[in-house]
Amino acid sequence: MTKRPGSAADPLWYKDAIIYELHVRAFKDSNADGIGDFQGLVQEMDYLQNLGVTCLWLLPFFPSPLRDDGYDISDYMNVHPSYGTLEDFRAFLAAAHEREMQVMIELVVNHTSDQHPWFQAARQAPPGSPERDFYVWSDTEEKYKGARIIFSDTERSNWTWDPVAKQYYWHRFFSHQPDLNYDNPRVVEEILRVMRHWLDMGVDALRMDAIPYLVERDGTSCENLPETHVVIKTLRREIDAGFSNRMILAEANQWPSDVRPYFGEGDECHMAFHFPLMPRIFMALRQEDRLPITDIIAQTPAIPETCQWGLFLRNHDELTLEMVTNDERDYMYLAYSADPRMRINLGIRRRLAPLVDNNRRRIELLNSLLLSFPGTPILYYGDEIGMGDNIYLGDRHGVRTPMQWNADRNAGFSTATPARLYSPVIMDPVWGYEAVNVEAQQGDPSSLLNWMRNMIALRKLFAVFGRGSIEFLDPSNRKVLAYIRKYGEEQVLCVANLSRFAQPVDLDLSKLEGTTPVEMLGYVEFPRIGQQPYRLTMAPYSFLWLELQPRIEPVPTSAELAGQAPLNATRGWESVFEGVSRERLETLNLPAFLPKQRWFAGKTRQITGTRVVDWAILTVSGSALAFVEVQFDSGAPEIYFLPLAMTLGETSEELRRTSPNAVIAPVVSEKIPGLLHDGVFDDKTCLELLSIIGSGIDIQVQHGRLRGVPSEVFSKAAGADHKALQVHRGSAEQSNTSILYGDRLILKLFRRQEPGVNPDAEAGRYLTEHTSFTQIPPFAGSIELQPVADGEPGTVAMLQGLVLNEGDGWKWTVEELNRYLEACAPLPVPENLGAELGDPLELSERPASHLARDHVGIYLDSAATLGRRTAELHLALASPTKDPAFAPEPLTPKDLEILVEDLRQHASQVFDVLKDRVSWLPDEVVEIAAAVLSRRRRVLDYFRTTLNPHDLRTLRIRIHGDYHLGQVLKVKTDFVILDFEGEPARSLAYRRSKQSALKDVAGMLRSFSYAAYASLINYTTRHPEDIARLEPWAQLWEHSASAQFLRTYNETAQGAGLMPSDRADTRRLLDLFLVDKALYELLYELNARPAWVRIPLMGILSLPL
Amino acid sequence: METDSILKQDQENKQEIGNADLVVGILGEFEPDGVAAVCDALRTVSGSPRIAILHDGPAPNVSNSAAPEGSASLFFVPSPLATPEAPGGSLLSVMAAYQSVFVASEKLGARGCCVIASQIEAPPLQWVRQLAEPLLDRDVDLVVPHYARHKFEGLLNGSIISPFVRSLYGKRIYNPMGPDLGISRRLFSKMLGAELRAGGGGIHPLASLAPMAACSNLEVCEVHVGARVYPPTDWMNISSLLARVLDPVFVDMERNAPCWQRIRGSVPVTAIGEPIFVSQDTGSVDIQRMVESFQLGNRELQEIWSLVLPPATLFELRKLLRLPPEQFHMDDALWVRIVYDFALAHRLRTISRDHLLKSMTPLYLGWAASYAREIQTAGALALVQRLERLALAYESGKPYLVSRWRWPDRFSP
Repeated sequence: MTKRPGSAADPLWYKDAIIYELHVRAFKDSNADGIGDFQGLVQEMDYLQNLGVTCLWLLPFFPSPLRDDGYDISDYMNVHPSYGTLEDFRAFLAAAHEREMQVMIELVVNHTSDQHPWFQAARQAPPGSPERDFYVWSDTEEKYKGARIIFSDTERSNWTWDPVAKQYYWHRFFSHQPDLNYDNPRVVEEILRVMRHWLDMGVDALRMDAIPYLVERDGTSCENLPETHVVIKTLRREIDAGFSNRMILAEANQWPSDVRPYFGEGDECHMAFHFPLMPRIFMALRQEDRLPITDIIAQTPAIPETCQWGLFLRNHDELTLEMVTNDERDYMYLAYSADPRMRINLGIRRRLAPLVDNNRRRIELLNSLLLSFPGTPILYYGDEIGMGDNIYLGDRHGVRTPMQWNADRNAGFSTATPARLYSPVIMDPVWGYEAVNVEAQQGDPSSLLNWMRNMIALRKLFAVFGRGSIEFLDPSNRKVLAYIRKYGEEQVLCVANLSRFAQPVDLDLSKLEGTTPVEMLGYVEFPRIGQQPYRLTMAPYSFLWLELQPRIEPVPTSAELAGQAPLNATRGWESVFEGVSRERLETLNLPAFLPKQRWFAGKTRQITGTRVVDWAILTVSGSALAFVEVQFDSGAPEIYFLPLAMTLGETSEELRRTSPNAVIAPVVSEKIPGLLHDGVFDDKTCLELLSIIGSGIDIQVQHGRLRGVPSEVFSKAAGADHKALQVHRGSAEQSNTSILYGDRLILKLFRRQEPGVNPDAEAGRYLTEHTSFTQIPPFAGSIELQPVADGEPGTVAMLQGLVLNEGDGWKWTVEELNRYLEACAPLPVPENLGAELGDPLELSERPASHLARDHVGIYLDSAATLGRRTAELHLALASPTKDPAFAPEPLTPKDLEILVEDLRQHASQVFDVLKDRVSWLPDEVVEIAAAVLSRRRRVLDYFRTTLNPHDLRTLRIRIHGDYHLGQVLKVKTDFVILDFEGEPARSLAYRRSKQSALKDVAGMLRSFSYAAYASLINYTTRHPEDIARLEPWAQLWEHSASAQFLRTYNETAQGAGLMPSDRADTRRLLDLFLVDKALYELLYELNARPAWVRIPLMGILSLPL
Repeated sequence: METDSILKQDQENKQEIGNADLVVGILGEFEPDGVAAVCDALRTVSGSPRIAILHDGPAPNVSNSAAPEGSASLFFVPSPLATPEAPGGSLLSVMAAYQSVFVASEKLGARGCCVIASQIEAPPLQWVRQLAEPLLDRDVDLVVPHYARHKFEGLLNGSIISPFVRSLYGKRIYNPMGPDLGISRRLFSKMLGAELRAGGGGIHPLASLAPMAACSNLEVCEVHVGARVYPPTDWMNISSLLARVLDPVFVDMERNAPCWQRIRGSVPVTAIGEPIFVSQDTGSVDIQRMVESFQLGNRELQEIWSLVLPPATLFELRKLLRLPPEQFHMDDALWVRIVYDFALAHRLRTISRDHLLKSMTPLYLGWAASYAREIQTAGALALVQRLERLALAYESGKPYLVSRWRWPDRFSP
């Protein structure tokens, strides 16, 4: 047999539903008779759809004498004429289904009205006849004595004498509601007929009223009897046989364990109300204690998978207190019904808002619980706008007053004269329809109605609320209720503060470590959960719903994925540098590759594009040399030199594993996959670069020629067979890249290309080929780029002889200093130390003291050597020559003026940065920084006044430009000077300009200071207690080394014009460079190493400004 | 359904066809040669399937006896299917055409169906086959095209539909609305079932496919297709198109809210074939006029926009109004927030949906002008990157959408 489908697609639709309970009579009157009707209800369907409810539960609308608000039915198959016709009902049903809403109606199966034809026939029929047997009759009132009287306020017995039948009839409720006799199969058949009538019409759900009382047996309470379950199973079986996606909701006001059997094994009712939970929610709120709620949930048994609890805060009946203890009932009466008129039977006849004194936060809190507890929430009409009640009306009519639509007459419910209304509307100043109505709240974005609508919509987004499990947390603060709902992958943490005051709470969420709570209303991410208790502060009556999101792994973007696609190299480099492959290389691969290279100078800027501006193929290795222009989001573009190689087959995988950062892109050449990578990682490419220099090869590129230029010493430096040298790559890469050939040569690739000869190569060639200065690595040649147009040649690479050494001067000095500080640590500070800490220039004019010799010892000899070699370098660079790039020139007053202005500007900029950053500095250096800042004016004035532009009688020569201990190599007892590139941040023109030799001298003096303090910081990190005692020793070392350096420098350079002829001018010029260098260091440390900022700060303070 | 009646009328054909493995609807104005080329391509579908072809036009010679052994068997069913982009062709007729293909597929017990609706610059041999085969061989449920892009064509898809669908449903699908598509039986049955339940009001045969597949965890893949031949874009009269295309996407979004609000990030779908890049040397737009349209809209539509957009966005738009045209630039984050706010207003029915979406036109032109200026000289990959950046902006902005959706309080920044 084909089943008649319901309107819902999902058989478990009721688990996700939001049920809205309404009485047709109270909702909307369409024909001005003062009574709500179906046509009126249809008019307001958009309102219900907009509210977001998904199922409408209609209270009884059948023909009835209306002595129990319609629960006394006199005709099950029809509609009460006051509410319309069957056609009107059908129209309503269609309107609901059109809006994807389901409809639930009442099936009052326990009893009928005494006006029902069945009862009228029964009382007329003889005892024992089938008609009489439709009801339960007795000659006495003595049967079923164990059954309690439910309506104790109005009924004295469950039996009433019928004078026509001359027997008593049984009724569990009002005496005008005789109970049907379910021992009579014809009754079951008739009820099935009623069910089919409505289900055939399309009704989705049936609420079975008073279901525990269907069958009576002597010696029992006549409630929840096994025979009742047999009847229910029969009804369910019939529904399942003929219909799909329908639902039965059981009204059984019982303890959860007694309600549980009404679910059967999923073969009785689909849903049942959870009656005991409702009063306990109110109790927990008033007591500000979660216990009543957690207790009753703990007592709630598991139910079959297809079943569901129905949850509610309020409904058309009283707030029933049947399912609480006597003490609890007394408390609830005191807490929620100050006026005795508020009480009825065993309950409180009040609506939600009045129960909580119209407190908006309490209303919201209770609704948040309703919407997040496990079950299907049921809202009572009017509670979504906070409607009030009228306790002066009889029975439970006070909570069944007309819906308040607007501030017009009769609350917009009806246009009838007020006296005709089935019930007066609420009119008092607080709850009256003029203050509380739908229209007003629709226009108020902050209204309760809008809040409810948002909350309902939110709940509907998460199946976990309707279908998930619940686990309560047990925080020590019992005013806070916290629980986790879980359904599949969905997890939601709900936290509610039941108190009228703010509350702290620590939640143990350690088993959820790693997940991130996201507040669900505003989608606000909270801190990730860890092992520690998760601390929250809850505002009064507040609640939080937190979606627990697992960590997600990032997925490569489409551009990244496109970058992983191989470049076409079928026709070799032509394929790579053409068409889509080139575009992909420039757009995707190079922008991803460049920032990973240590030599790339543009890391602080965003790359917006790259362009291969020139390229050439190397004939032997098959590699390519490319020049890549990089564009940035700000500032000028830069050009980089990039040797490129392709490695195909298995070898490429080895490269990917060992040097992943060298890989630029996958390539495929004639179906063989491989990698395009930095050519430095290909030995053949490296050897060909060497050959280009050695053989003086010219290579044509698009915009010029690449030319190998060997020096006079190439053959000597390279040895007999340079092609057989083993290739290594330098490990300490900085702004350049080094390739080592055996132990003979080092090739330095200048990655960032600027127009003009590189000063390192230029100075190296000059010193090697034109002077007798030998304390540099021998210059063996270079690769130069000669542009086609009239432009300066540039240097692509420089080849030098490799110098065997014991490490750079910085490393060696720091090791010496560590030993020195270790030795000084146990010693007292010498009394005469002050004399040793004077101006190094003055100290240099006399021999080193005994104190210095005794303690600084061997390093004084090294400092002396270094001073001498530095002076020799300067003398070589100052020697007469016809080469204009190296010919010495006098330092004129104009040069001096430009120099001073340059230094002042630099100083001003550094002071500005220090001022901005001072609050970020470590506490221990803030005072020193403040002292330096206080000298700003003095420093700037010093620059302006200390050297009036006059003839200093000194020279301007090519200098090292970035001179410090890291730029010299320790070679046995001597030093070799490296790297004439100058300060990398400066322009090439500046780095090639001629300057005072004292700039290099100042650089080395600052380097001694740096070494002393860096070692002190390092040492006292391990021995913080020694810092005060060791600082004077560090100063002794610095001053002694500096004085010794100056001593031999002066001796060697005497009379060559490297220093002003006037001693005072020398001192002032040197101080000028020292301040500038210290400020340069300060800027660097502020940006890179705030922990080291103390060193340049102390350097500035120590200068005699 | 039209096709149902067609099949009933043409009993002879129906009997001949019996069941089909695949139904292919050829929509649009194809020349006979074009239809024949599609048929040739279908012949090469692996596994020798039985393919029923629905087309409103003269049948090409599809004699199966002349076909090489092992080829697919083709059966031609003349059907009055609508033209998706015929000028003046109503949306209803397009929907009906797709719907007809679905219904016919169900009737013929097909394992899948394809719709061929575009003229593609590349010959159909490969991509038509690739559209069909995953349905039959790989149990894929939705095969979508990935057209090669010209920078100013398909921009409504590139700037809204594709990144919007990707952000919402977490699948990186570049042409979620086809129109060339392959659909499994599982998916078209779902579509037909959903249409029944929603009374035909909510399900759109193009806009709903990708979301439905994503929300049902169905397998989606895309096929790299050449450049699609688009009808010329009339940039100054684009409001109806905008409303027509966005409405079903936003409607679908409302229905699928429980699904997309749970999805974070995005993942690529399986791609078949190699990406095809086309020259970007052609095509231009009148940026100046687009900016002027934006400025005019900014002055005249303030009243509507202020119902939809929060003050921070309105403030940003006002600042744009003050910029000289040569400096005009609407950034992606702002554009994405605007799209999301319009989607929200569509859901809340703040104003008539049609008016709402049409009022978005000047904003769209404002963004399009910024985009056009940015990519004037861009190549094919730069274009991919640019649209990827936009897609990421949609993903970054999704929390904004979710928060506004969940709590649509007008008192927002």
